[in-house]
Amino acid sequence: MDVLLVDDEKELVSTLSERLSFRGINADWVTDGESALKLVKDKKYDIAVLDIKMPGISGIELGEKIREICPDIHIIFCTGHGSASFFSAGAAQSGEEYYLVKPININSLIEKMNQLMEG
Amino acid sequence: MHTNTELDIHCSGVLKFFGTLTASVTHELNNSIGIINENAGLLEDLGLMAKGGMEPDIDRWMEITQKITGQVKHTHNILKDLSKFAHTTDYTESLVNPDELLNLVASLLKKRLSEKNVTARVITPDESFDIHTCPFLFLYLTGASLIHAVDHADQNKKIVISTDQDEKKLCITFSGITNKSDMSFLNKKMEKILNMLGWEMKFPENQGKFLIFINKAN
Repeated sequence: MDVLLVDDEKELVSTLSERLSFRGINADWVTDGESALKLVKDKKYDIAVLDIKMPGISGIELGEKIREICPDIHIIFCTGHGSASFFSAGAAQSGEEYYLVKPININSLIEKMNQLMEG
Repeated sequence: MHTNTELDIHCSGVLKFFGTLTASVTHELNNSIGIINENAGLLEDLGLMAKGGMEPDIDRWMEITQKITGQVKHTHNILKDLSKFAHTTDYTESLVNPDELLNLVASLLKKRLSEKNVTARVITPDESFDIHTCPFLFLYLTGASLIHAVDHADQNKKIVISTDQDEKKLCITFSGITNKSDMSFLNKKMEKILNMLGWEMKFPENQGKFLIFINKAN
């Protein structure tokens, strides 16, 4: 499974990537939307995990742009803001159903990833 | 259904500022907790791998624990700032250091600034001085001004806040803003507070800055 992680907190995203690699998941990471778009143009990812609140391009906006490049990619949004139900209204605007509230539980993340890959 | 303008009026002023500041602080706290969470998880992963027979890399473990300790310290500093902010409501008037409060407001709004890719620097004068004023309203008015400055930062994305004084007045300058900016953020409620405190705001045309004048003998 090839995963792209995008979060402006370098320390957080790099550690998550390393922990996913221990579990056999190849996860590239970047800290901004522009770099993420460059990566998805060059490599095919199965899943993108996007932080919602980032400087420059927001996660929701980035999700839409990634979808234009890779229509088949699965997207999981992550947010540190409010509750999951509070966030889901925002996610619904872009047609996404998968979201996680930060701090992320790695097992919940992998469970969501597996659900997406099986579905 | 309310229109945006109606909502703006209802949420204007202190509550809106309080919400923005709280969002900025909670975002930063949540990021710190997230980093602590990931590094604690990484330690656990490495521990399980060591249990499974992999030789433990003690230096790596030390590096990770230092990151956790650093984040705990950072989180504590954010909470100290938040506590300082909360206690500004203890007194309606007290002797305050303007530069200290300006640094506090810039620190509390740090995440909001970084979301807009803007930095803010407080330039403190050689000689520190105190003024008698309402600490909470000082933070509110300067904080609302900083949010406005950030939203209207020029292409350099660097807001500079400086203080100057004469015998009667303290002047706080917010520079690094676009000339297209105006005083529209000054709603009626804010104007009332300014008048009540005897403060004045000025927006010199095409200078990329605005100024707040505060009477020292309030």
